[in-house]
Amino acid sequence: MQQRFGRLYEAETLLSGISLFRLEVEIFVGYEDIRHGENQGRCDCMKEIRVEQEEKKRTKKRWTRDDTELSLLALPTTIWFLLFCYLPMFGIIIAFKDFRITGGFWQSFIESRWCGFENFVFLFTSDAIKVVTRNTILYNIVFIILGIVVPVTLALMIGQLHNKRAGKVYQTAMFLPYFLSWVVVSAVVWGFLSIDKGLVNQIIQSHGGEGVSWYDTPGFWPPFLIFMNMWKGLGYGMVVYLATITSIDSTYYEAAIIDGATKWQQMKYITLPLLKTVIVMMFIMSVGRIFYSDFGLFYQVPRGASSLYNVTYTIDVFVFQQLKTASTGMASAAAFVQSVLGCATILVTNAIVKKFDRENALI
Amino acid sequence: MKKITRILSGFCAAALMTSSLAGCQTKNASSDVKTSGKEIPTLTVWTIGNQPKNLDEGLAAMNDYTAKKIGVKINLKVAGWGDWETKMNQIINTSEYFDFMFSDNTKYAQQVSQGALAEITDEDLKAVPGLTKLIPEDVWSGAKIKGKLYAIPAYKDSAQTEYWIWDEAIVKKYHIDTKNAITLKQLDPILREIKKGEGAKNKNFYPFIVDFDGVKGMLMNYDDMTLGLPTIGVRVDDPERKVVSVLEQPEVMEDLSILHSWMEDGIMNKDAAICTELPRYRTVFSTQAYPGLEKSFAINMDISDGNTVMEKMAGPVYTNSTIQGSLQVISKQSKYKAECLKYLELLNTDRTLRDMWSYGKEGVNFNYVDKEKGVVKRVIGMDWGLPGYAQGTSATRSVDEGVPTDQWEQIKKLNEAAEKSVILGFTFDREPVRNEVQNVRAVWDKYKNNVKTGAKDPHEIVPQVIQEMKAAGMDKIIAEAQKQIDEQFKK
Amino acid sequence: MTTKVTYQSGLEKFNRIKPGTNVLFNFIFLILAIMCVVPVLFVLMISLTSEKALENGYQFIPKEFSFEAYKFLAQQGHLIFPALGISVFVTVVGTVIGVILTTTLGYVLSRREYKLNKLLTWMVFIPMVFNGGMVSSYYINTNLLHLKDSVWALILPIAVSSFNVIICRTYFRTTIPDSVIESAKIDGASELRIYFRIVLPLSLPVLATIGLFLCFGYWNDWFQSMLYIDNQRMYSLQALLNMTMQNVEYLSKNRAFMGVEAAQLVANLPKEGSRMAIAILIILPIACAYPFFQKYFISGLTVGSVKE
Repeated sequence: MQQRFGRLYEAETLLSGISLFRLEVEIFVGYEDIRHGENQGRCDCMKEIRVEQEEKKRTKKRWTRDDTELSLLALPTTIWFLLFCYLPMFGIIIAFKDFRITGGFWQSFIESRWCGFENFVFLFTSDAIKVVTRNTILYNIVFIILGIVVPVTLALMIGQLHNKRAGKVYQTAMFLPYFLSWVVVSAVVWGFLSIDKGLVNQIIQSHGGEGVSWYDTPGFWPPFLIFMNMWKGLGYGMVVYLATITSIDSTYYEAAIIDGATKWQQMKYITLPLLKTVIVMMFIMSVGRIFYSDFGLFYQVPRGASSLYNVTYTIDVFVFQQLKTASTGMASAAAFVQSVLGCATILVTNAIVKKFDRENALI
Repeated sequence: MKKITRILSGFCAAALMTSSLAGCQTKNASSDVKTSGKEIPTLTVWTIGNQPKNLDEGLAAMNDYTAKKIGVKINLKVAGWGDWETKMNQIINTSEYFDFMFSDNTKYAQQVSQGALAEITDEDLKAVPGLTKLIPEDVWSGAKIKGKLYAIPAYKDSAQTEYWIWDEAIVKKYHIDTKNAITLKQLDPILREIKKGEGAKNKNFYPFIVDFDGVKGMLMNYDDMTLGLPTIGVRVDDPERKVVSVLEQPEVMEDLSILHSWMEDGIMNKDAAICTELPRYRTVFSTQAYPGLEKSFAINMDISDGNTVMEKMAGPVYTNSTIQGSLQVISKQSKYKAECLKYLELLNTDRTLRDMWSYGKEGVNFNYVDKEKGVVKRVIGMDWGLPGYAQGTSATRSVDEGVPTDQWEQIKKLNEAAEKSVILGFTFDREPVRNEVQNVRAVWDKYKNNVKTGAKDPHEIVPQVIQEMKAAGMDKIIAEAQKQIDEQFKK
Repeated sequence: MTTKVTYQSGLEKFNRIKPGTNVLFNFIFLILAIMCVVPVLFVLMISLTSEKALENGYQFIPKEFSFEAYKFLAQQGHLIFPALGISVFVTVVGTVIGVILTTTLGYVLSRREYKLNKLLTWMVFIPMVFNGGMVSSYYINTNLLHLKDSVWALILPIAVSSFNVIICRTYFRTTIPDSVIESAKIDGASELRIYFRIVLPLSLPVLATIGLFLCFGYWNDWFQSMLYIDNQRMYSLQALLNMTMQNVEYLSKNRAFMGVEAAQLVANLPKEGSRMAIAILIILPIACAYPFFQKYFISGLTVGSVKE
């Protein structure tokens, strides 16, 4: 990949000389400064760039052939979105209807009585909803924070190892948990924590202690579930950041080394800022899913133990249990509420991010 | 030139997608095959079980037979045990086409209230005298909702009878009088003795092992009105038909306390509340059964050179839930309602068809040992995998080799001797209180494992559960249920 | 498989972390790696333990070695091989389709001058938070698109996710400098040409990343099979495992109304050991596929040579 890039440079001669020069300027003067359009006054080429940008703005209004081609490129995926995401959206209306079967689906849909917010009542009158919402949000806050800090740190660290092959091996190993489904994981956890057959208790007992009824100790589970979530998602989370780090142009680092930067400074001034966009994007998207949870983790692993209900039930598990006996309308109502809340949070987060860093906001 | 190829490849991607969509046609829901001028409808049928290896082969044999006899064929689809609930929900909710399917007491009332099922009127039943002759009045009434019938019940061990199954070797060793070991209280000293004896060598030996569902049949005396909430019910022999909070009844509390003491003292497995899988061998346990199964249980428990002792624990009792244990329901949109009924009649009255459904294709999955008496031998390794109870009656079904051939007579005797629940024929319409039902159920889901297995001290946990349920609207449900019962039975 | 890890005249060596820090990092990663590998080994061990020994609890070193779990699976070969075939087909085809669809849209969205950029961004963004629900999706996929009981029902509905498109867009924005595109434009290249000849070759890391996500998503999916496939022979491998695991639970719960037959049915189910064997069977192929993707984003981590 890098070789291709090099060849490109060689191929572009006179006309691209300017662009090459511009690229170098961007590197040395400071990536961020240019993006914010501040006038550094360090070099004439800065003014050139700004003039170019203004020209671009003027030609913005007209539809060009480029736009047609880009549209063509985007067409297949757009069709996909229309078919699989937008067509089914009418299903949101089911949440507001008392869905009864009177004939085929459409006929039933149209003839079902409109019932406003009746289907939502059960969600909000249940005491359980407060508990599960609290659980979902608290867990997700921890997951979001840890889910960014830890993979980024590890991604940075793994690149620093002297032995690259060892790095590859570690990374592959850390990916293994992701391959196990939660059903299998819960069986393994059972193998460790079962009260008289589990490994942990057997070890305790062989040292003369009393086995602990793990599935009956609510206090143990929040840290444990957080650990399990991290354990499973570590390798996976690292991938995005690794991919970005890989594509950072090494000339940045070389220039910095020549200037005498230490490892810390390199990280602080080159790697992290360039990772920032990716981090912000992951952050906003995670926040948007703050009302959703990993069903497998919270349903399979605790094995439905009654004592753990208060600390392991999340909104998704709660809704799932309810839906086994609820009507279609109620099921749609639950999904709708989750969607609305998710939408609201993501918009708010996006707006906040926009205030600080316009470039990196999602929309 | 290059540009054109790029555009083309873009179109190709789009074309790939759309053509793949167009290329997949739905299998025609009910195709009509014209043979010799007469149309033979093919019904879409759903059942539950493990899909047999040679489903197509067996199905072809079935269809040949039924086409000749009644001019109807079926396209049988099998939903796996774990998938069945979700799949059927989807099919019902989206009005997907089917002709008839298996349903049970967990789904029947809901499907009816959604309006998905076709009503089976007396007129309809006139055309299938075989069914009306076979199935007694009580069983029909158990499948009715507000006086209307929406399903054909499977007439099998429809009355619930729970038995204690003992390992015979243990019974002999400790001289257990099984006839007087019926209630949990009576079992208590016996189990403690066994624990002392057998538990000496193995600390983890439990004479009594249950899973998260607790002791089967413990709450059998209370009819739950198919609500599926064991905490609300009517005592099956209560002439006043009073709807009560089951957990607060004194005998229930007593039983739960005994269970709790067993768990504390190591008589019962400590992980009962989260146990999802039972070991094959258990010293004693309760289950639904009928006479003559001693050897079958012994084989299942891996003590085939020994035997088991069966002692009746409770029942037989007819409630709506037990009768609705296996139903065949017809879709409101079925184009072939009369044909469905005709097929179900044949399935329930004709031995050949019934055996094909249960055991597979003759000569491949099983062989007749004695067709007259109705005894079959399954071919090892070619097990058909579809459960007989979910298909229809046991009356016309052949039995496995080694099982007494008068098994059906025994079952029938139990059925006829069954105590009828005082609210037989009543199914609770939960619509007026559906939010309360959801919320009470949410509370019950939270606590049910700990309560049913006695994992926590019932004197502490039951009041807590009741309190939360009351806050969720339990009293309202009880009042509504009582109202409906009084209305239906006031004649 | 090793890629361009060329040290440049001591500069890289000069830039390495101290040996002490290296040891520390190695140690941390070693611990993490062990924590991740051990449970998988545990699953393998369980699958190699005899059923009888399992009744007394799981042991790390099996008390009784036995291949009976795998023998049982071999008997069920008629179930497993089709499922394996389906899983492989769906994963390969799905990944290819998904990568094409995702990266094209991601690229288009990264182009700020594109007139419909804002519209398409919203189009991608909304399904991330709003969806029509299972019922209407099922209805559309079954009745309108006729996907029921077809292998395409396992591929198409989950080919694209807004999440992946946004990742793509962000990647393209941060790593493809505007100047490269501009200079190509000055040379007279069309947008399509730029995409296929310039941008794509530079984006191997993101292609590998999205490909990886899709690959795993498809391989692990069981829900689509359960919803849309009527014929159990056409289930994917993970769906088969899931169904098997749930069968046990269902039978335990509903034993009361099934009577004696329940015991017989339970006796025929795959046991604990076999279920773990199925799990291993699911892990193996995908674990082998992983290194193929890995080389695209771990190689050249700090040494990404631009000047050759």
